[in-house]
Amino acid sequence: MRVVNDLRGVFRARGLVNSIGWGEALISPSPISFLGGVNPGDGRIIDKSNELYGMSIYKKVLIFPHSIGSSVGAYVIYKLKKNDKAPSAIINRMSDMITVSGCALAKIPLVDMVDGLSLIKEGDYLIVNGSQGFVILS
Amino acid sequence: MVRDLYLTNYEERALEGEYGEASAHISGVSYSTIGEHGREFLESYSLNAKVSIPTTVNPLGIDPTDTSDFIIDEKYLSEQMKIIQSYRKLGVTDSFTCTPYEGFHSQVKGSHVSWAESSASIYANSILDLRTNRESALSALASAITGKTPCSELHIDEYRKPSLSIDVNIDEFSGSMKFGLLGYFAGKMARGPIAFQGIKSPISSEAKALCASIGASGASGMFLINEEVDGESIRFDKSDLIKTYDGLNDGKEEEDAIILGCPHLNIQEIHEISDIVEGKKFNKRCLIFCSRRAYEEAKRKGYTKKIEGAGAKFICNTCAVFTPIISHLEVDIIATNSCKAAHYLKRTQNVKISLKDTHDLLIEGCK
Repeated sequence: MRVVNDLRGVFRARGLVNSIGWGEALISPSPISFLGGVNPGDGRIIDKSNELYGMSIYKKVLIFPHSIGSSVGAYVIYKLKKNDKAPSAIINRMSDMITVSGCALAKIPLVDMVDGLSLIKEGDYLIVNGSQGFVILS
Repeated sequence: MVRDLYLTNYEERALEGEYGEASAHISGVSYSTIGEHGREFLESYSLNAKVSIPTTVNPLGIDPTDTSDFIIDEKYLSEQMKIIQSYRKLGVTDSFTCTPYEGFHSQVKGSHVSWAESSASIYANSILDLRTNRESALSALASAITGKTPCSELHIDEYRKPSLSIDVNIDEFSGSMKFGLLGYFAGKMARGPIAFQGIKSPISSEAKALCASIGASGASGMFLINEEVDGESIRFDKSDLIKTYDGLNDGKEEEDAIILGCPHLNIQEIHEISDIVEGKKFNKRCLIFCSRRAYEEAKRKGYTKKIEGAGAKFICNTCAVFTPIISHLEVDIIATNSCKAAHYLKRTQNVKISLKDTHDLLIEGCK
C-alpha cells in the first residue's frame, strides 16, 4: 500500500461491502452492464457505448452510477474476482442489487453516496473503506 | 428434545398472509453466463441449503436431455449438468424459463416476491401487480433460501410512483417491435418507475417485449400505462423510434438464421406462428425458444407439428442468447424480433443483427 503523504480529503460514504481497497480512480459517467459490458476474462470494458470502452478495470477503484441490464451481472463481478481481474474497490452513486450482491460474494469493497464524489477525478489515488464507510483522497 | 418455536411479530403477520404469497425466481443457470466459477459456487452452496419458498429458475445454456441436432462440447454439457444438479439439490422447480409467470407462478396480487431475470421482475411489478425489486441472480437466490427480501424501493408504495413520464407521440402504436423499441429507449431514461402516456394497454406479447427491453437497456423495475404523474415528462416521437431501431439493427443484408423466443414464447405466440407458417417452408434456419411446458401444450394443440413441418426447430428450456447453439450455427447475420436478443447477441456472440417485426420476419423467411 502506498504511503498517504498528501491527504486531500476524507469523504463520508455509505459502506455496503466490508473490507478496504485502494487504487487509481477510473470513472464511468454511464451506468455499467456487467453482463455483455465487461469481459470477465481480462477485466476490460467491452460495451462500445461506454466511455471506458477498451479500458481495464483491474486493480482500479471503479466509479460508476449503478449497474444496469442483466441480473446475472452479479456473477460477472464474481468471475472477475476469481480470474484476478477485478477492481480493487467500487464506488457507486447509488448502488443496486447486482453490484451489492456481486461485490458481497466476491469480497470487493463497495461504498455509495460519497459526500465529495464530484471532487474525485480520473487517476486520483483513493482508499475505499467499505467497513466503516469512507473514502480517502490522497 | 422438542423446543417451542417463537415467531417474531413480522413472521406472525407473514404467516397470516399479510404480505401475500412469497416466491423467488433465480437467474444464473446457463453455463454461458456463470461459467465454472459460478458452477463451483453453486455446488458448494447447495450442499447445505434448501429453498424455503416456491422458486423457479431461468433457462439453461443447453438442455442436456436434448442435444440431438447440435454437437456440444462435452465439458460444456457436464458443467451445465452440474449446475442443474445443484439447483435440484436446492429444491427449485425445474422451470428453466425466463417467463416463469406463464405457467409456474400465480401469487395473489400485492404479494411481495423476489425475482431476478430483469424482464420477469419488470413484468411482475407492471403487469401482475406483484412487488419485487430488480433482484440479482445472487440476491434472489438468498431470498429463495431465507424466504425474505429487503423491504426497500419497489416493495414500498412511495417508490412505486413514477418519476418520469414518456409521452408516446406515434399513431397506431402496436406490435411487439414498437413496444420493444419504446422499452429500449425508456430504460436508458430513468432508474425508477416509468409512466407511459398515449399508448393502449399492451397485450401479452407486447408487454413481454416492453419488459425485456427495459431490462436490457436500463435499471428501471416498473412501468405504468396512462397514469398521471408529477415530474419530468419527455416525448417519444417517430424519430426516436427510428433512432432506437437503427441503434440495434445492423443493416439491410439478408440474414442467415432466424431466432424467436426472447423472452420465451407462450402458447398464444406459438399459435400465431403456426397460423402464419402452416403449409409453407422456411428458406433458412429458424430456431424457436420456449419452455418445455409451453412446447408440450403446443404439441397437444397441434401447433408444433405445423411449425416443425415448415422446417423450424424448437429448443426447449434454453436461453436464446446465452447458449453455444448460436455459435454452433456459424452464421454472420441473425434475424430476430427481440430488442433484448439483439442487444445481447451483438455484444456476446459476434454476430450482426437484422431486427424485424415477427410478422415480416415470418412472411419473408417462410414461403
